[in-house]
Amino acid sequence: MNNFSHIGKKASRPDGADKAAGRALYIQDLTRPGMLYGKIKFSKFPHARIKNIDTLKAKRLPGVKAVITAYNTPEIRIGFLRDNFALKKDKVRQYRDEVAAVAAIDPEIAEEAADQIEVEYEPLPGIFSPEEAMKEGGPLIHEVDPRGRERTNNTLPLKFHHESGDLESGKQAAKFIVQGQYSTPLVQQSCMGTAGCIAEFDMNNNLTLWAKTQIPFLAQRDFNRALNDMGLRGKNTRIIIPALGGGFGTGLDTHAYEYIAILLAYRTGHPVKILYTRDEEFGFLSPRQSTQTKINQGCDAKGKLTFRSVEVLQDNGAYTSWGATYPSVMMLPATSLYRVPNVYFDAKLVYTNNTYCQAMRGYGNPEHSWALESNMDELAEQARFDPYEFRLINSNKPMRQHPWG
Amino acid sequence: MGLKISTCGLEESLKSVAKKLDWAKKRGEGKQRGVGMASLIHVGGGGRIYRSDASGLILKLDDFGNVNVYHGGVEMGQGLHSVLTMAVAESLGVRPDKVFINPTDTGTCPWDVGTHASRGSFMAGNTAILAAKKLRSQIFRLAEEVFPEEVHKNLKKHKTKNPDYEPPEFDVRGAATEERFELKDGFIFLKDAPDEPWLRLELGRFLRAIHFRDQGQMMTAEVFYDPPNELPDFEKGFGNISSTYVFGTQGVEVEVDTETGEVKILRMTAAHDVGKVLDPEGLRGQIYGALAQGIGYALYEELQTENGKIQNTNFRDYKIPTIQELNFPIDLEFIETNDSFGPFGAKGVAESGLVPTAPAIANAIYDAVGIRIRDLPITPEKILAALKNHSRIKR
Repeated sequence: MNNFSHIGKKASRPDGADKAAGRALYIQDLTRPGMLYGKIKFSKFPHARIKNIDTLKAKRLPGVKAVITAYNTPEIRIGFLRDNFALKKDKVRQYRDEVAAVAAIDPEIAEEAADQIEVEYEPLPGIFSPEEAMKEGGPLIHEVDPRGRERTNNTLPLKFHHESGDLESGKQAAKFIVQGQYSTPLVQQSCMGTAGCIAEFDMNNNLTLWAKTQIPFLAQRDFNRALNDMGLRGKNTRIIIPALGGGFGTGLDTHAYEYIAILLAYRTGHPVKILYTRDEEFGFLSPRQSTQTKINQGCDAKGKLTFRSVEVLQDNGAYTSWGATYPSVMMLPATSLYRVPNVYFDAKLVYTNNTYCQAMRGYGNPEHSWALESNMDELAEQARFDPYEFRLINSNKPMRQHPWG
Repeated sequence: MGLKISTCGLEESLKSVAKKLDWAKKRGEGKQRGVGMASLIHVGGGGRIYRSDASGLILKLDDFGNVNVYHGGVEMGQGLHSVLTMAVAESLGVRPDKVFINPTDTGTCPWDVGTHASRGSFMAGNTAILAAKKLRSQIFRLAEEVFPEEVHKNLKKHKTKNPDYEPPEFDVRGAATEERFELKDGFIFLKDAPDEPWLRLELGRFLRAIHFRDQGQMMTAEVFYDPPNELPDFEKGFGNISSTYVFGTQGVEVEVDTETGEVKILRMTAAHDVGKVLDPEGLRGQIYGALAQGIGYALYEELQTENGKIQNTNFRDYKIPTIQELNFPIDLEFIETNDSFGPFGAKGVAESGLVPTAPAIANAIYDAVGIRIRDLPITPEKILAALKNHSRIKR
């Protein structure tokens, strides 16, 4: 055994004293010389065509430096499947869609200017549950995919599927079988520090972004692509991360508000800060997905699991983030927490006009373990085993290749 | 390729929880009280969901023996920088107060895929170990020349102060070969003679000696570490997404008020196979926080929507647990399986505490009052409705 000097011993946090004293600088605390404040105008409809955006009143407000929409800025596609846009054109697909933004000399003027932008919509029928989304002939949330090909349904082009062993023989070997359906809600990551960023261009058109991100280098890649879309070919983004008041998955993607800050900074030639209020954080930042999980599993007379069949339905919301890949982690407990020889897993993700979702701590695992570990107790009861003994019987063990590996 | 489990403390965690909850006695006890448990597996050795799961680290030594650290991982309050400081101090052989973590900045830090999948401490620890190893071998190689010169000055000084001092018969130059050096607490010394007061060279002095001489040099080390895991084939099944996995079990005792439908948590216990405890307080903080978030998920939290519009957009209408709801004992046990892939044996544990909390609570509610809620959160309204439908309430 190693004789450690520091590992395993009480340590003082290098960032602790400054944070406790209120001296650590969060995005809320940072300013830059000449900095402007950005504010986003969000959609008032969950699904609608944009007929007209009138920015005249907002532009005339003293202190306003820029008003931007998708109609006067370059198109920037964003998101894991690039099905989202920094600013929305033609159509909004969720209540929180970004339709315009302003930059002003102070936050109050920016807010007033955003209020004064008038958007004319033609409402479309909305879809608010995955079941509705899967009905044939219903409204399409995305008429075309990012490559411009026509879409015929609301199912995402992402497949998460696993089969091992032989499900039918597993069912035949089972003496006790229990099925159940379990659901989890939309929940918010509830970071103490709300979302925000500062975007600043230097005179060579290279960008510095102070960002609340957990993925600085993947974010750099995303933003460099956006610079390219803006006609700033070959220009670079430098990401600096200030003190963060929690992440919990909210920093796993780049966000429309960050691209909007970049567009505003480039348009005005000033650094631009966008900071979400708590109300905006709840209303307009992507939460954890809601899920529905059907489990059917069985065990033999000795309590040994013989099969498990899992079907997951995930409400993606209107656009796609990295969080859509939750089922990649769900497959972990589904196949490998216990020794179960015959497993079927399938996950389906669908677009709706609900708020689009993103990663949160546990990344699909709390959702799936909710279903699995509830159902394990139900099966234990059916088979007349104590749930603790039942887990011991099936518990996975060290130095083991996965059942089908 | 299948998933490869290296260490697995699942059985130990089940036994720990059963013992601490007094399971045999409490289960089925009735009186609207119940115990429940739930287990977990999660990634603990990185999580490859992108073509690279790597992380880089640079250690830069200055003239004063300080270690400047440049790492692409993100401190967001979870305590990454505490673990990084500790890992650098331990593996290089300096005091933690000589380690300085620089802000995460794509302009200065080497590439890192991101701080997610419980990989922060796992990657920071492994990169620190590799970089420190590089620096130590460079230092010991250069010390062959520098150390005898510098300790000779030490000896002269020591003799001036202690005129009667008789140095031991010791051929410093002969002993000064790279494999015989050690660096600890910021001092370079010879393993054969660790206690001789003049036969020690402070790291800063060594660094100045190699800097301010002809063809002088400064010392930095850079490493890039990609853990031994695989990008799974998500359409066909699974691959070895992580190089090691965390296991654990959590237990809870609840009391259900059958008049109001309210669930009161009486105590919780969590046993996690963490591989090895690195920063005990930081680890407890991660698990406590995850338990709190799990309790919110189980009992309170839900964004209410109406035609796609979120209605409860503040902490008054969207309730997360506060100190009021967390007013019960929490008993943590850390099972140390010393995983060979983990830095110092440790696995990543940032998320695991959240994973089984809700089902453990639901299972305890079932034990208490015989109702099974299958949709989260488990609100008093759902409990009352289920109790109404449930003719047989345990008393």
